[in-house]
Amino acid sequence: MVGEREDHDLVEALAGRDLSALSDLYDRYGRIAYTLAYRILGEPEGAEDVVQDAFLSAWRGAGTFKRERGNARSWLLSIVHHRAVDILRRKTAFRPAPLEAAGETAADTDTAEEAARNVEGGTVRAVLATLPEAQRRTIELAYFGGYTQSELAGLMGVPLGTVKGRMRIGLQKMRRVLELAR
Amino acid sequence: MNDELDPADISVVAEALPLREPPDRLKDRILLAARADAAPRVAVVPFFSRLRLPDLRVAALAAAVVLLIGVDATAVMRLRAVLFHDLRDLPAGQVYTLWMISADGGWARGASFRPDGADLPIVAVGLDIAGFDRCVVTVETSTSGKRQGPIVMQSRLAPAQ
Repeated sequence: MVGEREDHDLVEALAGRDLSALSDLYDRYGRIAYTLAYRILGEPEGAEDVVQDAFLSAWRGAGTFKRERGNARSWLLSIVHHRAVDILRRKTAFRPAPLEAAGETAADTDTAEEAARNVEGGTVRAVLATLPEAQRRTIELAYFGGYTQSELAGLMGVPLGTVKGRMRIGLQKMRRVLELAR
Repeated sequence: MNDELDPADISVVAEALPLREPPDRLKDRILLAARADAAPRVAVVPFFSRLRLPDLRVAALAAAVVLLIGVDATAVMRLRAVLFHDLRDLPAGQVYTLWMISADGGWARGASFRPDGADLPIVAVGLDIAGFDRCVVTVETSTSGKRQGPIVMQSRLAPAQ
């Protein structure tokens, strides 16, 4: 879109205390950030708090963002993930949920970009569903259940190397599909 | 904490989730908190000394709020007033609400107010602070009921002894 700022430009503007950049960044990634937080925590209030916390963290820490270390989307989602998992692990009733328990309702698409992203998401989702059960389960528990790889090895009764291998192979497939979808 | 996950992979895995719509208020919450975060900070000592209120003691300062605490005739320690610096206007239908929070996390509603255009608005409160160790200010759409809105300021209650 003409005049639309790139992600890294938005992050630079955040460092300059530009509220419109924060607004644009939220419009771009607020929905997937909330989706991720909700998937990990399983309840809306906690997900809201995590997303607010993550965007404020980005607002305050934009100066530390290193473009060469990854894109703004990954940076922001990793903050969301880190905070949500931190909360999840502090809960006494720490129980992972299967991926299918995530929100069933896909959001309405109101722009071509969002529509394309939903297609990509649907494709990645389909690939995840076709992964062997062990790979899929390992990825779910690592990314949405908050387990470390060592904990997963103990939980599943397999060597740490097996856990790492399952994650690596499963993620390679997902990345490949995502690249093709783009 | 699972710090061994690559941020790029988190992004890929997040793609696998059916998108879920956040509540409309979330964006407003974030922008409001960021705006408050960017507000100028106040220096409490010179600011308070100008007021010449000898019966009040400054208890704590956080961000742009100054708490004025005093002991009344019945020896009850009260939060008498809160001074705000650079208090932002609110859209119609919203109010700032002061809450007292007990050590066990209980929230008690204090006062609701809107900026009146004064440079240094003072909100009279008159709350007994016994049993409370924090106060926060939120933005609410109602002057009654439980807290719904975002926290925009907060302070530890630490009355001078």
